[in-house]
Amino acid sequence: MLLKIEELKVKTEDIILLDNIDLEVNHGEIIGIIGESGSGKSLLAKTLLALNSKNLVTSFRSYNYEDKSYSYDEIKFLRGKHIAMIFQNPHTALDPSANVKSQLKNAILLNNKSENIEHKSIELLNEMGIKDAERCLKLYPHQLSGGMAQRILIALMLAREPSLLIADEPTTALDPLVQEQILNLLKAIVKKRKMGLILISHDLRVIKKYADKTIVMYSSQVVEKIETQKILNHAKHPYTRELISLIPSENIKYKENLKTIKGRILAANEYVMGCRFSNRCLLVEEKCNTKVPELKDSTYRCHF
Amino acid sequence: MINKNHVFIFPFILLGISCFFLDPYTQNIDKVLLQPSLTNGFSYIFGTDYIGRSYLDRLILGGINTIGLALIIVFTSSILGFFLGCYAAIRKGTIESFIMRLSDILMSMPGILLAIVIVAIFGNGVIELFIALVIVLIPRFIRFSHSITSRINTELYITIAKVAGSSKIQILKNEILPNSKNLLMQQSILSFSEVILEISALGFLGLGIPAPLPEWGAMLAESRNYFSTNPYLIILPGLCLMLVVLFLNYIGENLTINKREKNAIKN
Repeated sequence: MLLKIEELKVKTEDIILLDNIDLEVNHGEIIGIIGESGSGKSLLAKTLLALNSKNLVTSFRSYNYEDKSYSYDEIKFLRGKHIAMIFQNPHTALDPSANVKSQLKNAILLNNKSENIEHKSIELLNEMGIKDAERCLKLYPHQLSGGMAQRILIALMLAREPSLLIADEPTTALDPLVQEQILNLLKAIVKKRKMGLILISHDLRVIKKYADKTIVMYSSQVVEKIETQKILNHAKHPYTRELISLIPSENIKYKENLKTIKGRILAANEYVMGCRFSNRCLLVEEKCNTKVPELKDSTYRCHF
Repeated sequence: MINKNHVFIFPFILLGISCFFLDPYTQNIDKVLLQPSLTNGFSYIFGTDYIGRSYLDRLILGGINTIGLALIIVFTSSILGFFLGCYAAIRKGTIESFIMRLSDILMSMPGILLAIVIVAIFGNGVIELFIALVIVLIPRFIRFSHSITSRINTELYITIAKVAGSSKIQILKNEILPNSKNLLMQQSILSFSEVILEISALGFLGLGIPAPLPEWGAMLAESRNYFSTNPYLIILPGLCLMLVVLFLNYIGENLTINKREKNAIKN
């Protein structure tokens, strides 16, 4: 077991932002987290690295990394060396005033002072599938294309050889072709280095293709945990099933409207007595509005 | 490679060499208030002042005194101010508000007035002048670097550096310093010309660099009485002051334009 978290809660003084989340990641496993904007995916990713701002209260029953227990304040010692994270927009994630070479140098020096920097950085860039690595070392972030920048960012993070990588919507800012390349690259690296990967996305097709297990989040709760292979036919939560039915079919007609789920996601500060999906759910009944559903068999959160 | 901006350095090198041959103190009673003329011989080319001291030598040494002192003041206060501002922005909380409110208080007083008060308390001398002007100048750099650092601190690449496991000092060294040094440089050059004016203003009031040492503001002040008969006594130091400030502003502007052009080409 690489990472195991139980009953993770994040809240401000009166608003619950993450509600009792359990998470398990194994070596060489890709966990996909999916949910719409405002469901708390990015907050979860940040909490895993203790990057939350100070006015948020974070608590959990246990945070085990490689069978060692950590408190919230100790998580920062895991950063970089053990858990790394990549972000949505690679251009703003790179320091604009330094070229690739010196950024890689800083990252490599953090890891190992005696390493041959030139050799190691070219090796890293080659691993990322960048062919003319020597030319690339001299470039500044604004001279890189989106895909290149994301590759460099991954290289920066992998320089310290972490065993868990969190990818917070790594391909949202990229065009579909590059998207696929980057995700294939990530998958190959994860399988090769036996790392864990937490892949956050709001694109169900991405999750379906790359993740081993899927966690569906809705309005600061986990609503369903499922093996990705089963998601198409065996999803139990109405939200997940709605999401699957929304994937546009390949023979969509010109000017045909795309389907949506009616209504909007509850904001974290909107309190409801019962299920948080009840205002959009098609199966809604009396008890949905009064009783909070539990996570049944720890797989899905619904009364039905 | 030498480009046209580097030409600005040569007058300063000449100034530096020439100060070994200067004699701004010897008083010549028979040559009091000599008009500037080419026939006077080289050291009296700009005439003499009211007690017969070579005006050329006093102008040059006055310039070296003013510019040198201003340079040290700007350097000290930009370095100190940068680190205090960064520290406040990174630490946050009580320390931040203490440093920032203190600099607000200092900034709320007019600079020259504050300097006069400090010099009046500590007495008249080069060290006192230095302290007074550093105190006047430092809040500006604190506020400036505080705002830059706060802005940079919210950038994603700082989060990335944190995620990679950098300590706060490494973040300061690798991310914040390289990204704010250009802005800090421009601010320093703008302040530089202002400090020169302030030193001269204090000198004019008799609170600047003390008496036997030549200084442009003091030279203006002591020549006021001879204004109608010997106008060159006022015109020369005034002209020097104006040109230096003008050139400094020009350099500052050139610096920003060059940076912008370079960025434009890169993009």
